[in-house]
Amino acid sequence: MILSQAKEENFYKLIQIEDKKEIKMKLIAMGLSPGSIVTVVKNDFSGPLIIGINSSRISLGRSLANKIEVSLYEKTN
Amino acid sequence: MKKQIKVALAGNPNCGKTTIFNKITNSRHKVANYPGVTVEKKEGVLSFQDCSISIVDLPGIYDLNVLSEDEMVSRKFILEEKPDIIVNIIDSSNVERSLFLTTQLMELEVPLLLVCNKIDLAKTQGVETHFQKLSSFLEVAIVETIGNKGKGIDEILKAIVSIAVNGKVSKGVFVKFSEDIEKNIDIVKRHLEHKNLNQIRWKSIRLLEQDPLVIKEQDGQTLSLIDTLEKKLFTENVTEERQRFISRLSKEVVKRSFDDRQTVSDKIDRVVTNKYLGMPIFLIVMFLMFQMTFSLGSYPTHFLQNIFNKLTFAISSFWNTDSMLSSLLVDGILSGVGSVIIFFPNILLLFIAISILEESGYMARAAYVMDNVMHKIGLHGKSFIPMLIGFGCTVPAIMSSRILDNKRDKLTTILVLPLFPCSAKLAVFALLIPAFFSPFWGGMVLFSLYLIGLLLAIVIIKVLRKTIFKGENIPFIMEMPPFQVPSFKLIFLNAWDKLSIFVKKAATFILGVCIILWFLSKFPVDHDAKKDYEEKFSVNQKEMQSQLAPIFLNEFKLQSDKQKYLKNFELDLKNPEIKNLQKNFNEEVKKLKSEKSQKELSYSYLGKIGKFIEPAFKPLGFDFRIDLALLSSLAAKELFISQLGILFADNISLQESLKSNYSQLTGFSVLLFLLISAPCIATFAMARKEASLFFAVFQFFALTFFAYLLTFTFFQIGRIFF
Repeated sequence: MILSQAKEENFYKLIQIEDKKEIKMKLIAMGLSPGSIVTVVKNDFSGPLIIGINSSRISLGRSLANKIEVSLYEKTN
Repeated sequence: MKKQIKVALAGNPNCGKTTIFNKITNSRHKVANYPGVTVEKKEGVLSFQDCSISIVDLPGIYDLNVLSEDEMVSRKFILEEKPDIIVNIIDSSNVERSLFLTTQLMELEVPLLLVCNKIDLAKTQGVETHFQKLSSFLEVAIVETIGNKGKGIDEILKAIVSIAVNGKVSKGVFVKFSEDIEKNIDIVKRHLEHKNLNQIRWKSIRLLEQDPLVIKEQDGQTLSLIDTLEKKLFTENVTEERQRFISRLSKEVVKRSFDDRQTVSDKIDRVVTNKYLGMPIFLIVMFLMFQMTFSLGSYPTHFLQNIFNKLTFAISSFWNTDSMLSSLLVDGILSGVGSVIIFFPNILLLFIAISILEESGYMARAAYVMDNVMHKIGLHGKSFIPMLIGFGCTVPAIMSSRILDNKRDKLTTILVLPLFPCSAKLAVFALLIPAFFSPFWGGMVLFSLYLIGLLLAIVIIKVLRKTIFKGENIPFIMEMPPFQVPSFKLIFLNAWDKLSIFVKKAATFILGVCIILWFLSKFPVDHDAKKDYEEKFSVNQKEMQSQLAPIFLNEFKLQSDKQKYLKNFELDLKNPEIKNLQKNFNEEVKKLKSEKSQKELSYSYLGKIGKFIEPAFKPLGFDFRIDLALLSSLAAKELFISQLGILFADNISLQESLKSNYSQLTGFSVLLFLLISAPCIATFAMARKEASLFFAVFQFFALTFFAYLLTFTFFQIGRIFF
């Protein structure tokens, strides 16, 4: 599924980012690399969304979130 | 001789870099930073254990691949200024991400000190890091700190000195990439080794990643070598392998108890960025900001106004004659500079408000909320941050446009920034609006000015994005710092810092210009006007005497006759007729004085300049005095007030003189023109620096043209109705 469809308070595993090289590199440097686990803090299904990666919160434009593939992540404690 | 150590502070945004910088330097930094985002480096110098340490705080970066210009400032400093030590500050609650930059910094072969900050926050979030293990893995020294509590600050300094003095250079380890990548790196490295360069591993990697800035420095021989090598997907692979290296390392040293508790900050975020609530909350915050600036500011403003009135009276009564020095002090300096100083409380409050927005973390949310609106006009939310800062001062606003990721957004934003009235323009509004409008309408007028500025900005942006600056939008990526209760000490100090720029400007530049303007308004001396005034005055005086004498004598006779017989009767020579005469005389003299100053002004250099440009602005409803004030405001917007203050120096209240000299329609026309027209010199210079000379000139004339066109239309249509 794509990140823009993700539901609030769920955890997702980032699979891949389909964008220009520069954007991809920047996202990885910000901690959003394939394999990382993110939570969705805020998604109104319109406008930008806020995602959490560890303790930081990053807002991403919807068009960018459309290009990020994720899968639901069931956490096991 | 003390040992000199040059230290650069580098780290991700929001890692607490600036807090640590302030703690280390005790806020004794040299370059005053404007409110808003750190987009320029700050330097502080201190002595510690016989060493002189100069510390530079750099804008936050995630990596050394540069997208925006604030990141460029950091990269340039690290690469070109060659610091002795890089202090890499890490947010301990987010070690994984921070290490990405760390591994890149290590490739630069500059001694590195790792500062793991916010260890208390990490603990509460269930993140446990084995710092000793991390230190031995990376082969760098680590200091643990809690920046906002000042814990570990001395340890940082000790570590810096011990690295510098002992020469114990720990540059850390390199990320080992896969064989294919390393093979290519080796080829380039061996080539560069002959050229006696430093940082060759880093340069080799960057060359293979085709970093335009590193490529630029190389000769043709090197470039042709690079051309022969396989570079496809090189960057992707390097980044991925770096990432993999870090996650392997993190697994060893970081233990994270999976915490799905939503933080308080997240809960606040759900409300303030809510689809329906976000915008109203944003508007309320904006309203409160300006309300606070005005209502709270009016008390100290009145207080200052009183002081200046008393000072004026004291100085002019000290001389009691027509002295040039007195005129310079009263008409030039007090009227000119004083009229600007009384608005300082407003400016300070506005800076405090902007500081609060920034420190609390709301600024990023405002950008988020505005993203939808900004998107419709072809920019994104990030552009709103410079605009918000622009309400304080356009100069730092232009600087902060560096956070924008592409040139097109940056230029568009800079172009419209003067339309967001800065605090100096606000001071002019604060003078003009009450002069022409009742308090109720005043608020509406002020609001409408901000709205007109905003609407105009939107139109200009839309037009630009459809014509010169066409192209697809770049994605919106922005870190949202957690909400926090701002430190009021910090905010006040910060705002005071910004105000001091205005104070310095008033004491130097504005003062100088005021003296020049005063000179231009007084010279050449119109002796005829003076003689004429004295003649007319003595005619009046004699007439008054002759009228007053019989009434006075009569009244005296009347009262003294009563006194003769009545008990407890004292003379009181007031009588309605005398009062009336007195009033007439006062008015007559006032008229003569203003006539004299009008004549003198027309005769002066300034008057001649004003009369020369008057025809051009006549269709806008302006007379030569307003033209002159507008002309002065090109140097700094506050000077608009100063100039009017000097021109109307003879009267008691500037606002009253304005009210009696101009109509409401003219008043609003002036406001409108001032809102849009040419930016001040400082803005022009900053636009030139951040964009180009052509751009700054274009902005200057385009905005003035718009201002003229709109004001002309408004005044001419308004004249039909009023």
